[in-house]
Amino acid sequence: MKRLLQSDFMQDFFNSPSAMISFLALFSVIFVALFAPWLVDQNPFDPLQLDLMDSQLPPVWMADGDSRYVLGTDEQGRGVLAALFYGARLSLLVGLASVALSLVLGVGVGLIAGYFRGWADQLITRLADLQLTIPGLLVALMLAGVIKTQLPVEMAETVMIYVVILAIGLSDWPKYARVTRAAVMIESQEDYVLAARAMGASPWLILRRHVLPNIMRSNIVIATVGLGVAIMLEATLSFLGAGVPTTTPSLGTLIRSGANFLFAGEWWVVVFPGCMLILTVFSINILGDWLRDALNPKLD
Amino acid sequence: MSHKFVARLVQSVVVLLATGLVAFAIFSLAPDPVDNLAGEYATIEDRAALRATLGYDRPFIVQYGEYIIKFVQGDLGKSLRTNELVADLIAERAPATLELVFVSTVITLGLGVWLGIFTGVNRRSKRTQLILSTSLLGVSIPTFLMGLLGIYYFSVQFGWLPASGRKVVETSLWDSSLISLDGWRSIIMPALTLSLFNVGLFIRLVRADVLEIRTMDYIKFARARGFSEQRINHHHVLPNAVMPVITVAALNIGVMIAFSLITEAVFQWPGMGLMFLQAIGFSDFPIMSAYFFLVATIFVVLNLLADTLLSIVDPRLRRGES
Repeated sequence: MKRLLQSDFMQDFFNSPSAMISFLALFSVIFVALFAPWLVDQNPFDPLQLDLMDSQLPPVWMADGDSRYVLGTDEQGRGVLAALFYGARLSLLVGLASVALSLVLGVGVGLIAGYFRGWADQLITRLADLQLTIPGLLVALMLAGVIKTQLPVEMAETVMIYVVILAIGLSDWPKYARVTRAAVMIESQEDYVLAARAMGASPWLILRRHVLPNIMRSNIVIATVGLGVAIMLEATLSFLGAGVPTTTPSLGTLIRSGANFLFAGEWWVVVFPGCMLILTVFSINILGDWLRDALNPKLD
Repeated sequence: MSHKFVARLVQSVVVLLATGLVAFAIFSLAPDPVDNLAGEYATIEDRAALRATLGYDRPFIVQYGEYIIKFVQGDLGKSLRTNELVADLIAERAPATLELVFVSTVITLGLGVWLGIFTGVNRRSKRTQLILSTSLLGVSIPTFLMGLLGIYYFSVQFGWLPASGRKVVETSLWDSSLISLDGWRSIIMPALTLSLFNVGLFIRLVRADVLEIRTMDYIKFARARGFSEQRINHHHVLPNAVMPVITVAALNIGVMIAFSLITEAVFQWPGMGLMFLQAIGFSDFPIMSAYFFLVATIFVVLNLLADTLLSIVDPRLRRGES
C-alpha cells in the first residue's frame, strides 16, 4: 500500500486536480449505484411500490413539489431520484459487463493472432475487419428487433439486457485485438520471451506470465474510453426502445419516457438522468485522458 | 498500386458477401409466403408444388445468391406492412438523410479543422484549454440527449426553431430543405446535434496531426530560413495535416449515415434511419435487411475509396508497407 502511494503513478494522480475531481465524481456515481437500496426508500423496479397518484410531480423546490420525491416523479409515479440511483446501477452494470466481454475477447484473439501468426492471424484480422464494417448500434438494433419477434414477450424482456451487453461487447473487440496483436508481435521478439521459449515454457505459459502483463497498459486505456462509449451506447439503445425494458428503467429508458412530456414543460425526468449520464461519461473520459498520459503506452 | 488495389477490392467483396449473408438471414425471417398463398385447404403436395414454383425448395446457397443479385439490381423486396417496394421507400427517404449528413459534415469539417489547427498551433493559450475541455464534454454527451436538450431550450423555452419534422421545397429532382429559410430552420438543429460528437473527434485528430508535424525537420528548416509562422502554418503544416482528415472524413460519412438514425428519431426527421426504426417496430424484415445491407455497403465502398484516395495523394503508401 505504501509502495503504491509513493509510486510515480499515484504522485501523478495527486498532482492532477482534474483527475482527482473526476475520480471523486465517478466514485460517487458508483457509490449511489451500489448502495441504492439503502439510500432511497422506494424501489422503482417494484410495481407495488409505485403510486399512480404521485405521478408527474415536480421537484421539491417547485410549487406542488412533494418532500418524499426530492427530484419529482415520472408518469408511473417513480421517484426520479430513486430511479436515478437504480438506473445508474443498470448503466454501470451493462457498461462494465460489455467492456469486460470485449476486453477478454479482443485480448484473447489478439494474443493468439500476434503470437502464432499464420492462418489464425489471417482469420482474426479478417473477422475484425468485418466487425468494423458494421456499427455496433445497428447490430444491437437488429438483434433487438429479431429477438422481439422470435421469443415470447416475458422471455424477450429478460434476455434483452444480455442482448445489449452482447451487442455492445461484440462491437468493440477489434480495437483490443488490433492493439494486442501489434504489441505481442513486438514483445515476442524480446529477449525475455526468447529465453522463456528456450527454457521450454509452453506458449500458454509464455503468453500468460510474460507477454500479457507487458501489453495491458494500452488495453487499460482503451477499456476506460470504451466504458464511456459503452454506457452511452446502452443509453442510446434504451432511448430508442431497443435496450432494457421499461419495467426496470436504465438512465436511457428514463429519458425516453421523460421525452414524451418534455413539450409540456416537464423537464425533470429528462434533465436529471441526463446530467447523471453526462457526469458519469465525462468523468470516465477525463480519467481516460489522464490515464493515457500517465501510463503513456504507445497507442497508434 | 494495381496489385494492392485488386487485393483490397477482393477483400471488400468478401466482407460484403458476409454482411449480405446476415442481411439475407434477416430477410428470411419473414413469415413463409406459402402459408398465405396456398390457403387453408391446400394439401401437402399442393404446398410442395407451390414451393417449387416460387423457388423456395432450392438450396440455401442458391437463394442467397439470388438475394445478392437482386440487391445489386436494386430489387430489395416489398415492405411486409404496406406492400410498397423497399427500393422506392428508400429512394423517397434518402434525400432527407443525405441532406442531414451533408450539412453535418460541412459543420464538422469546418469547426473541427479550424479549432483543431488553432489548438495545435497555440498550444499553451487559455483558449486552447477551454476548447479542449469543451470538446471532451462534447464527446461525453450522448447524441439523443443533446437533441432533447436542444428541443427543450430552443423550441419549448425560446420558440426559435421548430422542434421536429422537415420543411421542404419540391424540386424536379428531390424535395430539398436547403433552399428555403423554413427548410434551414428545420435542418439546423438536427445537423448540429449530429455533428456534435464528430466535432470533438476532429478537433483532437487535427490537433494531434498539427502537433506531430510541427516537430518535423522540414518545419525547423522553414523556420531557419526565416519564414513567418503564418506562412509555415499555411504552406507546410496545413497541407500535411489535412491528409489524414480526408480518410476519417470519408469514413465518417458512413458512420454519420448510420448514426443519423438517433438524430432522426429525436427530431422525427423523415429519413432512412427513422424508416429503419419504424420497420423494427413493425418487424418489417425486408426493410430492416435492405437498410442494414445498404449501410454496410456504403461503409465498405467509402473505406475502399478512402484507402485508394490516400495511396494516390500519399506516394509513401503506394510503395511500402502501411
